[in-house]
Amino acid sequence: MSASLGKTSLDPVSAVVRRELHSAILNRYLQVFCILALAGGIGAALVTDTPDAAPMLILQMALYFVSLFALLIGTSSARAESQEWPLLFAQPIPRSTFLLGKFLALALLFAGLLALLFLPALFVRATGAALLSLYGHTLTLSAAFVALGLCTGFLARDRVQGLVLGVGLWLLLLFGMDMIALLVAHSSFLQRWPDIWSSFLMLNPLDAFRIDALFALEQIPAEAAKQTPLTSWWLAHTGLWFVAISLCWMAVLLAFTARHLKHWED
Amino acid sequence: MIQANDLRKSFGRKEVLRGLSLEARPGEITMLVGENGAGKSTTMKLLAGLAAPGGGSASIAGHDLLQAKLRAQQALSYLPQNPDFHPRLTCSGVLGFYLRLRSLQKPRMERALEQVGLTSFGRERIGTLSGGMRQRLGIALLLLPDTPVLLLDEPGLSLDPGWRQRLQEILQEEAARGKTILMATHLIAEWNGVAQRCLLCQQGRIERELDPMDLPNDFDILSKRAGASAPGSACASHAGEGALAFTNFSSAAHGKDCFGEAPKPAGEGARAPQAL
Repeated sequence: MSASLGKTSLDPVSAVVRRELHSAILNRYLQVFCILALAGGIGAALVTDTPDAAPMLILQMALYFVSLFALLIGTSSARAESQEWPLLFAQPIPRSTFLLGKFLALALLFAGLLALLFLPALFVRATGAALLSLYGHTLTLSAAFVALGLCTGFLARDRVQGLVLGVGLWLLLLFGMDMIALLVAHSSFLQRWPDIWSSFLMLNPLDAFRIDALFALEQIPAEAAKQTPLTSWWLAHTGLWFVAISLCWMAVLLAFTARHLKHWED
Repeated sequence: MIQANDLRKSFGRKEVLRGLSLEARPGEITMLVGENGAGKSTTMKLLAGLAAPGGGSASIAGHDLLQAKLRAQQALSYLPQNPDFHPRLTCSGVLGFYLRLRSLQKPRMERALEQVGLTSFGRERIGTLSGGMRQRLGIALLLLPDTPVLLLDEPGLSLDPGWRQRLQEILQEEAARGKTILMATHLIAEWNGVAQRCLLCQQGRIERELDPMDLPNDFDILSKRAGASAPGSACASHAGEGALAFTNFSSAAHGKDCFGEAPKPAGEGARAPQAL
């Protein structure tokens, strides 16, 4: 009989990553994502006639389509072996290990698959530096939405509930928060304290991504914005802020999900 | 060794375990029997570390489940009631995953597959396997880590009689190797004479210990006393004040057992629990 502890603490994580990569190949959402990403990448390369046009098209796809699919794939992955949880969670491995392994595997997958969206644009006149920066930020955005998808998937009672919750949150982040910001923009309180209004947008990774990408691609001159000290700082550090707020979202979502999993069955 | 002392567990307002205490010893198969909702599966889940008890304590091979859960889980292997797996993964893929999770060597996987007769199905996808074969894969997973403690929740429900027999032999072999085996089951007569001890779980407690070598007769006596129908006929009815009696329907014609409710028997046949 043997009951020895694992050789290293990385063994379980790598086991989960390997299994996740293997089963992800069979994930329908991922298959659809690959087709759409390649079609989008080729489309962006073919229809553009200026160097900036391809990154702008890719930006729109990243904003709407990559974020949505990252969330759907995260949710789907979380629910994939829900029937197996009694077996999985009886193993001598912290439950957060499963979550971390899944997150790392899906982030790795997106790191590779986003090439389908970005590589075709390199064959046109698009600048490599702009594309590389956009690739890095799109990967960060997809990792944040994978974390959100895993969170909704593990929190939900079943796959459908997870997907409804996930898509609802995606819509809220994509349109809802902007709508709310627009609705309250004229209140006298926010007119007096515009930084509160800016903070509301800054906390949303999709808005932070959009602002960062737009400024980075020089579609909006930073000087054009009516600036407060906070927005001045934000517009001067949009890339840094986007990465920071995305990492915060990932950490909070994964920690919250890990805590939820710890009390699963309770 | 498995020890549980005064285990309590509630789900919302429903109190499922009300001070359950038990002990399962190395080298023995200990059965946990009782009607639906008696708390058997909840007990198994608490002992497997899937849920935390609301009160009381438990230890697996000397490791406290609350203080050193991972150490305790290291010493146990658990087979849930309905083991299910990702349908698109293969048998080898599933076993290989659990092998890596526990940092075990590959020969152990081959041995586990061989023990449950799935060697030639290693590359089959789970989705193509029958319910019985999935259960055999679950048994392979149970045996994979070679832990000193085995927990089985209603094992063999989907197995054919031949494989149920084989499962009993496997468990007896494992017990003979000094393992502690705790198993919850409804199939009383099927397991008659297999276990060394049999504990009756009722309303979230261990009510008493039964004779594991003479379970059908024990239940027959109880059911006659309770005025329940004879063995082989329909299930016992709700004849009394909600107390439990057993009715054995394990005859070859029926092939399974069930629990009925009837007035509580008194006197003979009811022994005080031992070693609790």
